[in-house]
Amino acid sequence: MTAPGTPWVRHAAIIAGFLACLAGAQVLVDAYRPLVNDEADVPFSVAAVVVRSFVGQVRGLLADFLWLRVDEYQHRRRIVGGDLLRSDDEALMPLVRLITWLNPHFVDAYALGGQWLAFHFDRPIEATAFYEEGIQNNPQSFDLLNGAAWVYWRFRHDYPTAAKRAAEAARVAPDDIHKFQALWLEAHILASAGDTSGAIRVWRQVGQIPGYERTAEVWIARLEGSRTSRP
Amino acid sequence: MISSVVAVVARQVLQEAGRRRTLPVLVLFGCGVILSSAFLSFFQLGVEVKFFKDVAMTVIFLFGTTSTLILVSTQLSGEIESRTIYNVLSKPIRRWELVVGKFVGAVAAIALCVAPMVAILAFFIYTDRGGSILEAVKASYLLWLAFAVLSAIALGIASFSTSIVAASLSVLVFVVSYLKGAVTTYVALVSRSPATAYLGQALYYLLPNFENFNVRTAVVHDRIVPWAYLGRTTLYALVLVAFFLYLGAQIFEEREF
Repeated sequence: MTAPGTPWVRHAAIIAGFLACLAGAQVLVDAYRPLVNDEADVPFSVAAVVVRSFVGQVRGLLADFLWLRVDEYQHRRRIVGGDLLRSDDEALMPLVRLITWLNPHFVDAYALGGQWLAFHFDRPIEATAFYEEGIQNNPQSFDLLNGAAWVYWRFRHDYPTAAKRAAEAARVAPDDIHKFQALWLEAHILASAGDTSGAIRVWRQVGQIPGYERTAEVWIARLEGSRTSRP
Repeated sequence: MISSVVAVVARQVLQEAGRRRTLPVLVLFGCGVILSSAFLSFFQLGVEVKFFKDVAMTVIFLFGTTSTLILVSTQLSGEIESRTIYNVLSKPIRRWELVVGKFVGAVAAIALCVAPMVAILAFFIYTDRGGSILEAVKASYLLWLAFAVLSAIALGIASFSTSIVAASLSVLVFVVSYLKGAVTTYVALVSRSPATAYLGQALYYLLPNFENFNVRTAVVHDRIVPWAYLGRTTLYALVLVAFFLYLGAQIFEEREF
């Protein structure tokens, strides 16, 4: 005869067993999860975690559709009083921020956001912070490294960091044209910083790119001329 | 024989799914959305294929989830509400066989619903050279596992509630599974108590984690989903399914009609 309460003990034991198996299976899955989750290393803010949790598995799609909206705003800005309507510009940034929360590998959103913060809103510190976040999440992105180098150079006058980012952009450049752009930028940054020898060294690298030999020669001659004419 | 009884119930669920028209209409609608997204051309080369894969996987997820909830939440409770359960239980069938049969039939019907959408996805990946078809199939398989787990949860809840309550509570479990990430992060930030931190960890390990079945970003960005991950996630799904079917069967056994 079964003692009173025994079936409940049995059920409780089975449920506890299931829960232990569930936790064990989750541990097994977690060991491989980073391999299929390219967002595993992204340090999300609390706000980003909340937003991402609420939209669940549709976050990638939502980011894509928000980008369509950004594209529409960007290309159809209204002109009032002979100038672009500033509220249209301002509407872009929250969308861009949301996109990067939903998909931290959305390089175009980081590139556009950094550029707009610097060039349209005159907020270079925020722009470089935004670029740096994008670079941290996408270290091989030419657009972000190159864009950050521009802002460090022209807005923040932080020549060492600008040159470092431009050199990194040259390293990850997808083709010769992009490599030339990055090296051109690095050479100009170094020249602005007064490092003529460094600039000449970079122009020599440009000279090794097929089709850019003549450009490199002209710039090297100009830089060497300025060095010899200096008292 | 046990397996034949389960198979009979499963076949009946499949036939009913086709007869009710709701699922075929959902499948047609999903296929239409995927097909129309394949012809979007306002993205630059490369981005377009990624966008298509993202849309297709999301459509499979959304329509699969909807089909699962519609199909499963009306299985047990629908039989009870329409009183056909008396006819069924008067036959030589045990209650747990009915629960398992309903589950098997439902996951088979959902696989049939999802298959045409996966086929369209695979076709366009092939024609647009948009990456590996195998990886897309693996991701779809994981989504199907998620639907199987959701089916087990919905059946478990339907064993003691009405259809609408079963569907609503299943959605709630689904949403909570995603929100727990936010909750555990928030708890870890605001609380300095170790007990709260342990509670957050316990929530993470003991509540269903549907994010395990999401490998969409890997597929969209042409990364390989390891077979070992598939195996471990299958094991995770099996444990969850067994747990909720056990709960559902036990509650249904105790229920009086």
